Amino acid sequence: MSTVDLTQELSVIEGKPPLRELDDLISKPIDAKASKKFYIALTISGSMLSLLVIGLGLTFYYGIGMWGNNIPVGWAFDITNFVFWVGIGHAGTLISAILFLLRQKWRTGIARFAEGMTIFAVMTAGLFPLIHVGRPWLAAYLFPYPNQHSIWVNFDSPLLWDVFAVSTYFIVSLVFWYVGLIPDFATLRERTTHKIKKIIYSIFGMGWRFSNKHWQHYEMVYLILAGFATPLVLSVHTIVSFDFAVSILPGWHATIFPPYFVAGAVFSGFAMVQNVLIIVRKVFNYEHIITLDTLEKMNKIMLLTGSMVGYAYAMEFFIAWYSGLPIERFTFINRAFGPYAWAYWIMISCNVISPQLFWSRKIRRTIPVMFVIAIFVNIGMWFERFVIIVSSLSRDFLPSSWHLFVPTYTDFMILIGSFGFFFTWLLLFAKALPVVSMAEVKATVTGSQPSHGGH
Amino acid sequence: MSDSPKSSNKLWKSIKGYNDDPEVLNAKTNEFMEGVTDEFDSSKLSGISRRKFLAILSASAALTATACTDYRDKGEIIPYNKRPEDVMPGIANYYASTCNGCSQSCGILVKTREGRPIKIDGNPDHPINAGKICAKGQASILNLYDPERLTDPFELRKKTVWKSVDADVISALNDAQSSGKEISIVTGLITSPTTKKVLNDFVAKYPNTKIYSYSLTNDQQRRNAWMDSYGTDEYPAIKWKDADVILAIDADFLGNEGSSIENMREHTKRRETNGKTNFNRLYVAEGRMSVTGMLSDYRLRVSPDSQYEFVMALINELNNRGSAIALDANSKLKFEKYSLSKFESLVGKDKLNHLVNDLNANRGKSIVYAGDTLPKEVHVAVNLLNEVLGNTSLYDYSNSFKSLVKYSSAAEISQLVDSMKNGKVGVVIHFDSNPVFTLPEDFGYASALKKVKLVASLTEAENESSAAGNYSLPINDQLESWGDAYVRGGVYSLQQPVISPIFNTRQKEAVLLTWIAGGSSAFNEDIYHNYLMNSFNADVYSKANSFADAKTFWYSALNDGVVKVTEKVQPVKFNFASFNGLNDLTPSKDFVIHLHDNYFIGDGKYANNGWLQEIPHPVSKITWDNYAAVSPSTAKSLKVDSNDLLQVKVGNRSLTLPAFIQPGLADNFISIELGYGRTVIGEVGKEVGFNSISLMSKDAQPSPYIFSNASVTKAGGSHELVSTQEQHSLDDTFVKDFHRIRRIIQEGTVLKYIKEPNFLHEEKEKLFSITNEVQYTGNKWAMAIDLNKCTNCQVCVASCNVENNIAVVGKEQVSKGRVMQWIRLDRYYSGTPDEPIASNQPMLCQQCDNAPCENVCPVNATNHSPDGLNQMVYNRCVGTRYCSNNCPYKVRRFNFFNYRDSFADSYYENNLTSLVNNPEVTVRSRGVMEKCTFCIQRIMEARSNAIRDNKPLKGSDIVTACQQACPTNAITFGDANDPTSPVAKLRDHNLSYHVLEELNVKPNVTYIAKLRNTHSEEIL
Amino acid sequence: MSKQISRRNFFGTFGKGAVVAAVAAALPTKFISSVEKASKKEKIKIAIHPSAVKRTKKV
Repeated sequence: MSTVDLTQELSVIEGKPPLRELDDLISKPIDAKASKKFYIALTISGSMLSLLVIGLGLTFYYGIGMWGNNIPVGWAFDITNFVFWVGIGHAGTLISAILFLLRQKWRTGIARFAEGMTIFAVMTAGLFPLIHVGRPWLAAYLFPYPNQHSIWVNFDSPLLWDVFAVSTYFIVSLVFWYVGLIPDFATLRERTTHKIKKIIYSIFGMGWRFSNKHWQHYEMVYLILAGFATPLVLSVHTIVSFDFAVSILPGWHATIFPPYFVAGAVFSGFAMVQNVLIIVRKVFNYEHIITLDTLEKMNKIMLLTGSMVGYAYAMEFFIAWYSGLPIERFTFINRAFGPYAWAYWIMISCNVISPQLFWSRKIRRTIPVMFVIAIFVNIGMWFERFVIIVSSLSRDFLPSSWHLFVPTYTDFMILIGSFGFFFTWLLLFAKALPVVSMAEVKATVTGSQPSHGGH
Repeated sequence: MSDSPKSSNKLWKSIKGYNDDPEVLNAKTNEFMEGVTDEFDSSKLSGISRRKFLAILSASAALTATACTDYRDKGEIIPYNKRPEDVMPGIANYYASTCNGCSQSCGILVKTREGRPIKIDGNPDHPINAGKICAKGQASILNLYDPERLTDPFELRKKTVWKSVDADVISALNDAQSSGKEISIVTGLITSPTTKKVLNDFVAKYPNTKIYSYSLTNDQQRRNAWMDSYGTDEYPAIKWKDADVILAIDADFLGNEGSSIENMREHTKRRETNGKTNFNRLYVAEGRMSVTGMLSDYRLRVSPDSQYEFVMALINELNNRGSAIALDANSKLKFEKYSLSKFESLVGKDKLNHLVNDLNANRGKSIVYAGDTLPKEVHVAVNLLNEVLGNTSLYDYSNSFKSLVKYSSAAEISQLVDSMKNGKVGVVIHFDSNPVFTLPEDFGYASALKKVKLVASLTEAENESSAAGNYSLPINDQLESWGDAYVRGGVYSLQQPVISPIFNTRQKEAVLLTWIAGGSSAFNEDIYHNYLMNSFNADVYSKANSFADAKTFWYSALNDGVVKVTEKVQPVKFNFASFNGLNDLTPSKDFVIHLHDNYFIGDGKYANNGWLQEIPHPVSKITWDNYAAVSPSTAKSLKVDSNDLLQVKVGNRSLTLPAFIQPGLADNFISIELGYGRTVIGEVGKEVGFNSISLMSKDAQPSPYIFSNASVTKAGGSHELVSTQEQHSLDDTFVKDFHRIRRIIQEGTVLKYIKEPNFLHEEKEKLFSITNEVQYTGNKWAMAIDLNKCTNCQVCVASCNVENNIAVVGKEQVSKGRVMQWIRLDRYYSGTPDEPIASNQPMLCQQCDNAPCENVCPVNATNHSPDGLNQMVYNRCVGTRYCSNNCPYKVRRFNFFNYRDSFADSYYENNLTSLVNNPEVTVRSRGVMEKCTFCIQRIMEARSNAIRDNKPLKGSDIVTACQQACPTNAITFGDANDPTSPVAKLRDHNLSYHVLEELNVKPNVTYIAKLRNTHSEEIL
Repeated sequence: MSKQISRRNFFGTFGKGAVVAAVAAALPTKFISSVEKASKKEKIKIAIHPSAVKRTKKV
């Protein structure tokens, strides 16, 4: 139990390392040759990725029938995975953009990595709208381009809003992330002696000269982009929730969905970021950059959003009962006691019960425990989307059309493969780019900023 | 080359060369080796220069490139060079003919396009079926295009030619004749008088010939009873619409028994809610759950082995209250000892009282009707009961059920088998029959067949009997055949081929005529055509007293398809000896097994028809299988659940098959459908169902279909039964009665309706919209479905399948929930597991005005038309399936695979079967959504005709496939904006309602609530 | 002058090429190539039965 000095603001970086040391530390994984552990990790994620390739190949060749989807359950694993991955992406933007605007300096250690995770999560998520369609070779129809049919897309449809939301999210996140990377590319350009690497870093560094003018522009652009990205945290998952809320299906047609989904997205996103960061800080020795305090703050956010999600569950139930509509009441009772009750209770125990453990300071600051809780949260959040989608569809209005959904091997291959896709990108990112923002971190070391009356 | 004076300036390539090494000098001299150019002859060189060669190379490459065609290129459509006289491309031709699907021989109209038959519907001119046919008839068109049809004659499974077959058979026939051996012709039911003539001619030519007629399911019991009771085996039709009370005893007369199409139509004339309400009341006493049972107002669970006592008790009870006929003392003695009190606990005192009182109060205006599978004894008893009640006025002898060739008795068939075993039979001809499959195994027919030298099977496709013989001879499909039918008094119907035989098949009668003529050269395409014409002239034209000449009369008869002939009606009188001499039947103490006909595949003849196998069973909704139906309480005592295997034993015969828990079944009772479990059958029908014929016996008495000494035990293992609806126990309160709670099914009783005609609309709320409503000023297509008339027969499903090129998906895909039918008949239960109340509801795309599917399609693939239709644009659809998710009725179907490719290894993706497709309807690709379009192709055709004729388009110009097919006219389609149209009136009917109205999707399918004619105002 | 000549040559070549392309585009290449494909597929002969009597009255 460390004594906390509550008279001073918590230092972001522990200790007062020389700035050059920070550069070296963060650049080390990039300069060094790939270790055996890296190759093992890449092999694992690569084989998971190959499952995705096989699964998608089978799907493209034979058709959506390779999955377990049917009528009435038109969406199952495909959209569950989509919403899951989009949700994961929200943590990164929140950390990068919102915490920046709120001047939470403790974000600096984790922002780069989280934002990278956002981009890879959005890429993974973006696969699903394209591959879940029956005729993926015509997926271009989803985009509004002038064509010979004189037909535009249907702007009334939430799926179309998804197209705009997710592509906007991806582009803005990518640009924001990239802009933040420019000073770091420049640093790497200065440090490297490798001929090709120097050329690459020079191109991406865009001629950054570390001049004051550059820094001024950089700070302004970064602020504006943070401003752009901030509403996306709320809007993108709101749009995704509209896929369900705008429909008429009981269990989907609820006004609580936008805040509920956004909270859930932040919840699962932080859990995933926390998991990956715990691994990263251990592997790269960034314990003093990605500090225990940072992790504790993330856990507090998880507790907050987890409670919001728990509240939303309770409110859904209450409103369904309060509405007096037999069909609404049945939909929710069916979730808890029908054929998918097992998924429902996994969801409840993982999402409602486990984050409440974070009330305890000790648990908040114990790494193995928080790691496990975050895994449970992710499992729970995946099941939340599964329960919402599949249980509502499988038993809807007319009992004559009720039918169970049973996943197939291809469904599981694509699910596991999506994790492989995500982690492969992440591993490659960790090897090729600085996972911590060198420029920002150096700026937060005590004594690095000029101050009045200071040294 | 060599040294020059300026050797210091010479050029050198190597040190050796510089030093003038002799090696180098030698090489230089022999730079061009000897003999290399000896054979060089410029005139022998190819004339192609390098330039020309390159030119040819590129040209041929370009030409090759043209051979690479676009993958989407389906080939060329080339217009006729010489158009056949009768064909106008794009306009359909219709031909009247007769269906051979079952014994009823309904009149049909065959629709052809560019020479290909693509749809079979009923012939409106036929007085019996009046423009309607059953699901088998609708889907039978696929048999013409069955890829595993026999295309040529086969001898011992090797292809051969007719000439050699004819020669072999004729010589064998002559041998058998001369050596005194029998020639046996085994046939099914003979419905054609001309075929009968051919058989007689055959017997005349080969006097050793004996004709054996046998059908798996038949009306033999009824005919025997009629013969005993009334001296004729031609029993009358029933005037159903004049009956105020009907008691059906194990009789599925509204399902698949007898002239069910006619029965449905006539019965529902008394379930009319338009105008004066004059409902009949239907009581059904049965052990199994049949379609008729589901439609009953009162259902009595009486096991078939108890029906004898039940009828006797009724005779006793009703005779006490009076009789229309004078009974003799012996008869009274016979039925006196029976009492209805025995049935009180089983059936319920109230129900029994209602039944007796109703029958009593409606003497002369009611009918008691026994089913085909019941033994003769029950039929005779029922005959007497009707006499007692004076119901014989409802017997219509003017179009009685004719009997052209009597069925052979079990003794006669045993005699045949003995003769075969003893080598006394020289030739066996299977005349479009399959006795190896349909005869009970203990006849020993299959093994006896081996002793016969020549077995020739005339059949459309290889079956168990043809596989056991030496010659498999392909016959024409019904659409390629000439023929006639006389199955009902006064109605003579004709069959004509609408297409020339596609393959090397022959008319089965023509084959016999060739063998009668004694030489293969006697055959020509028209041999039976001419024979038929001659027979027609002799028997029909000559008696018709027509002013037209024979030829004109013949052509007009072919045009109409049916000729009315005069039939003398003989008066009949009940013969009491038939009743007095009856063996009293006692009910069993063991399990009772009831075998009966199935709904869609006949005696197995349609087992290879994918459409028919995939139509869900009207009661259980199971596809691709048969099963042992068992009641919930019996299942509990046997400790079985649905899908668990049961072993059913009757004597030393047994069958293992899956159980299916059927609410409402009698206890200690199993019902199983016949016709499944075929072994020699195409890919589609392979391993489908369980052969319950294995439980039948040649000695089964009193009925070949009912066994009272059976034992049923749980066998190990299970077999997945696949149904299109989830099955929930009626005890499961978690999901009970949702169809009533959610007001999907709204019903009332006749009493309530008479008292308060507006009772259904009392609680109706006015829905308001927050957006501007679209105004439909022109046509607005709408449909109304009268649930009082819907019998759950599934003919609409079959008709829609054929009309709209619906793909067959197979058992596994149905189990995954991917059946592709656009219209379905939902069946809901309420009540208790023992006394369920069944409700059915046809469900199809409701073409909602505020369609929830339209808003959510991201690519605008589904829109609304100005005439009120929800349109589906296949080529725009990318298949996100959001529209299906948002459809509250779940009527949209998704092509999860390219089903024509994936079903049974592209079984239906071949040149022959693709001819069945309706050219007016797109064949959908993989990944595309589809749904009912209200037959937009028919609407468009009517619209273009209206434009051509410069007339307004009226709703009555259009008939959707389901509407056309529905035997009871439960489906009405038309223009809602035309106040005079029937559909507009039905939309305002006081029993009208919409399903899920509160969602405000504004569906355009109006349902007319079902009224049950019970003695109370409440349903339950 | 040489510029004019080279320009003329250039456009001349172009023009000739355009003529060739137009002629090639007009050729019935698809038809020719489909003949082989059509002959491969086994054609089912469909013929209306010559004695069939079409229904003439309105259905």
